[in-house]
Amino acid sequence: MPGENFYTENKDLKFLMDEIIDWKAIVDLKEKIGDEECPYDDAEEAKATYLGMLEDPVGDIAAKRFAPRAEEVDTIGCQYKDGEVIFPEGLKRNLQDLMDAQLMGMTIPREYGGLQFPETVYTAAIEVVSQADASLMNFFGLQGGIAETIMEFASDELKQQYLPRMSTGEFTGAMALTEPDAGSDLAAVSAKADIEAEIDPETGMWHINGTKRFITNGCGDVILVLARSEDASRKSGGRGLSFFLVEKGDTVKVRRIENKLGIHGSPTCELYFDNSPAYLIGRRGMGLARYTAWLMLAARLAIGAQAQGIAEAALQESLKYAEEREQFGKPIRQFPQVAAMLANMRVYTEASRALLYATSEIVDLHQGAERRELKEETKAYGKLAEALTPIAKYYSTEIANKICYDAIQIHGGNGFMKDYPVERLYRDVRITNIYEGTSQIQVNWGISRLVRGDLNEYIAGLAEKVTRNPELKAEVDKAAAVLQECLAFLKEKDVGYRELIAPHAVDIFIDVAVGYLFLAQAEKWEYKVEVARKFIHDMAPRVEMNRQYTLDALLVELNP
Amino acid sequence: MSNILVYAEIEDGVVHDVSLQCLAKGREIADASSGKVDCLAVGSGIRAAAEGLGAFGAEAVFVAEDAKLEQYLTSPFKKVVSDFLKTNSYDLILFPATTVGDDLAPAVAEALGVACVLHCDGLAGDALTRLEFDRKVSTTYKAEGCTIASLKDGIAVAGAPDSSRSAQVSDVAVELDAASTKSKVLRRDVAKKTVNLKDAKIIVAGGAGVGTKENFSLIEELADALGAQIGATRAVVDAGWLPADHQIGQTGVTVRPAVYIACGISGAVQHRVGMLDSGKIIAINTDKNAPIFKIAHYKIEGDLKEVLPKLVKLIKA
Amino acid sequence: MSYNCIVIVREVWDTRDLTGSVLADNGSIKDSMLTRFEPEDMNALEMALRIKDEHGGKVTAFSVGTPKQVDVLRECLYRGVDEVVRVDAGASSLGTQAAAQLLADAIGKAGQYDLICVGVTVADGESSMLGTHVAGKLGIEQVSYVDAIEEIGEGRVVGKRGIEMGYEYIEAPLPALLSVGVALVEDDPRTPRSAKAMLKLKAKKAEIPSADVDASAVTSPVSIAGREAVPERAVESKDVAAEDETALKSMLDDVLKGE
Repeated sequence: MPGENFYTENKDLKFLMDEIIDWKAIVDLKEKIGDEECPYDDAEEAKATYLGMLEDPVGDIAAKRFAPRAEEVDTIGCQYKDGEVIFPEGLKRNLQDLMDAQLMGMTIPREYGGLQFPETVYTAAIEVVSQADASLMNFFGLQGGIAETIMEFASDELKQQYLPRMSTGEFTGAMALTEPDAGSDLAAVSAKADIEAEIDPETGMWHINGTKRFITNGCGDVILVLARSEDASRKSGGRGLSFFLVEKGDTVKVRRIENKLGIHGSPTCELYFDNSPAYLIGRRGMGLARYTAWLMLAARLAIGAQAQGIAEAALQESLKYAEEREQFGKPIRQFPQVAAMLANMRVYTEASRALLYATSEIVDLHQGAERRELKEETKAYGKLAEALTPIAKYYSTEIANKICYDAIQIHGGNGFMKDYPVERLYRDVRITNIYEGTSQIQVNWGISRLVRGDLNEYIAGLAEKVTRNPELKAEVDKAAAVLQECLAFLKEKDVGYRELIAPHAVDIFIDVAVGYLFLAQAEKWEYKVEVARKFIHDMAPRVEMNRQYTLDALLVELNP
Repeated sequence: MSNILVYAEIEDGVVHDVSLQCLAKGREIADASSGKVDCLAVGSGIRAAAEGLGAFGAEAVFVAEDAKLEQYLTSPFKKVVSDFLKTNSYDLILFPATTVGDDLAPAVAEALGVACVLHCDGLAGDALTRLEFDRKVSTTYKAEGCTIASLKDGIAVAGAPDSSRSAQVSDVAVELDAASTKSKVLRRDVAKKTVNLKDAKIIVAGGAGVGTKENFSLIEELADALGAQIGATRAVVDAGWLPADHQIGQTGVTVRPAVYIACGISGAVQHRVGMLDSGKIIAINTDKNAPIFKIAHYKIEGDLKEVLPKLVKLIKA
Repeated sequence: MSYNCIVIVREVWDTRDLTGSVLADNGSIKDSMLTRFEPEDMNALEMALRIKDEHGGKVTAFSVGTPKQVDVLRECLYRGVDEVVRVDAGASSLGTQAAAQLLADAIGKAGQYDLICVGVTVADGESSMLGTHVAGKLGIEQVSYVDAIEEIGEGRVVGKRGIEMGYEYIEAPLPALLSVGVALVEDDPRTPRSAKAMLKLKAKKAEIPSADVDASAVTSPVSIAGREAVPERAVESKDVAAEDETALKSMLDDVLKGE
């Protein structure tokens, strides 16, 4: 019965969860098996619990409740009236359902009322929820990063005060980073004193004044704010910024909400802080370098999963339509170009999923090692997580955009109309490669790590895992050599040149990584041999093209 | 030898068609085994209808009449029927598989401590058969001793009344104690029967896919052009687009017209069971995967707002 | 005023989208057949849980037999049921009436209750009207085909009963048994609730107590004498293009020629 459960019906995702993710490694680091508090007797039981939860409640409510409401949520959208954000009825029900299903504290530790699940489970849950309604992800999927930031860096009092209520879903979160003049360049926050934090010398309490813009769920209850706390003349740029927690209240005003292209079920607010009481999180002056970086990393993985869910929805809609729609006496899926488009959509949906979950696995291992205070592992996995997360976010969101584009094309004129869900998917997906860092920002991060060699061992490790299909592996090995050639070349180039060709060099890395990941998957599922064959077949000319762009870029400024 | 009792469900002075089918089936078995078939009718103002059962083959008709039995309720009806059966012995007691029969049959079986099998599609000797697993399996049940069964619509053809036959009619004393009158019917929202779907040769039926009450005029126009009756799914009735007497399916009527035109009906099992045996099924639906297409003889994938006027035009041409 | 509710839940064959044969060569049900939580029992569970949400009280779930693929009692715990009781059916599968006897015995030992909810079986292939049998054995009032509870209070419950030509509203004194129909789900796609994640985490290893009843003491007056595969209903199906008037015309001629 299609449409009954978005997890069990997603064969590829289920396969990754069942067969590919190394749960034992994650559970060994993140759980204390044998400890009285630990609800699992062994890693197998933990795995069964995680996957059982993805089936019910996650996959169940996504398919049966969120998906049927998505159209209404999109059409009505969030409204703004007299300082209040008004949610559409469907969204209110969605949030209630998430609370009822006790899913809002998915990664929050059990001692604070959460489920304490790994990031990988959370990533899968975000994908499944986003397949039903991408806009809902901004409540469900950002909660984790915000809670984890509080968990990692806030005082015990703050943790006690906020985490339990975030676990139940009573509190939702927002992160207030962007300002009218500080989007991608967050170090510019409050360069013009738009937002400032001041400490009251008598009470020791911080207060925040100023404006933040483009704040997803800014009407939420727990707002993490990046604000200038240090005198700009003494500590300029990012070094003068600190991180604060502000609770929703009279002093936090929603001035307006944005009228957006997509994700209408997610309110994007302009916030005005009017001497709002604030709690400092962590150390002064570390706001950008440490806490924002942490938060953004978590959020990027979540956005990648959001895009992945939209891509899956677009793929499913396209498959259904191409089967139903007949022209010239046969279903359009039988026409070569449509068939090719559908095959590509599937291959690249699975490609971005492979990289996304490989990344979330690394993020889990990093968090686990950090909590266990394993210094070397923490450093090694941390390096990988920092390099892979932006690349995975870039790839998932760009691929999802392409898939939604093709989905409309397959639907033809019908796809342009509001009658079919692909129109909404096409609008919703467009933000994913912009927010939490544009694709351009992501590949800039990626290229700097690649050139530094942070991912060399990782690639070698992926190659080692492949034991079968030698002729396909040889093709990927060739691409890996091209990557090394390009990286060696880039070592001698300046940052400007590296950033210019960043998408091309990063794309070579992605082809190599996904090629190996697919081959590893093919050893566990025969179907994946064909997927790998198709992907590797198509990547050869692409790798060569990207090699040439990388080695010989031409930047011109054209002024007729 | 089989002695059979048929429970005659009477509503608004009319014996339920499935009760008549039970009677026909009972007659068939009794004739083959030189047994007898009697009827028991319970209610208020049912005498005239009950007396007519002789013409349908009942040998004796027992009438339990009481003003307190005007509306069906489990406990008082159970009391009356089981009291009767305590003093009158039968091998087989047949109920129509309606919301009354399926409620009363197991209740009576419990009161008497006898076997009960519901929703039978077939009855031969002491073997009761029932279609199961979405009609993929026919299961045969055997029961020990006196057996109560409910029979599904279609078990037999209710014969035409034979006025030369008549039954001996006797009254049954009704004794209702406090224990059997604890529940009450507070109110009933029941449609008066204005359509006769069971005898219709052609039915045009609408489902949720019709979209609005106004769009039902398209269905009416086609029905008019064909001289057909109008049917509906439960969703349509619950939405208030048509009264409940138009409902076909699980809690509606079961129909077997020569032609069944399903418009905007997805074909959920609850509806399918009520129309599956129609002669020719034409389905019009925008969703190619609608289950109705699996049982349709003619599949039209399209918008009924466009297809129905076309059909009307073609019929009138 | 709070209520103690009992729900009877069953694991049944999943008869949706069946393809191929249901029966193995020896006439038994194929091992590959899937099972599921009886959907109307799920409605009954939702009904009881909503009473608890609104009025407080306790919900206890009973089921008969050992689980095949789905442990319906654990599913009940995941959804917020307070207590569960497994009724051991012994080695063989029971008929409806024998199962009802065991359930009635177990419920009788479980203490005070106000309301019992159980589904009306719609999908063929399983026992039907289990609730009516249980009510009969317990000697309590029952209402069947209940689509919704209109009211509960002052020692009575009012059920909305779906019948052939509409609805009727039946008031029964508590304790009563309601056999719940298909149309419980009234608002939006608000299907019966899903599992609750925290509960699921906590209850995954919860011990499930067994009722103190003796399966060998009950017998079923009805037994299955045999099963036979029913040949697939062959429908010769024709696609007719909605815009093709000639095809529509010939379709009409075909079906109407006998009329």
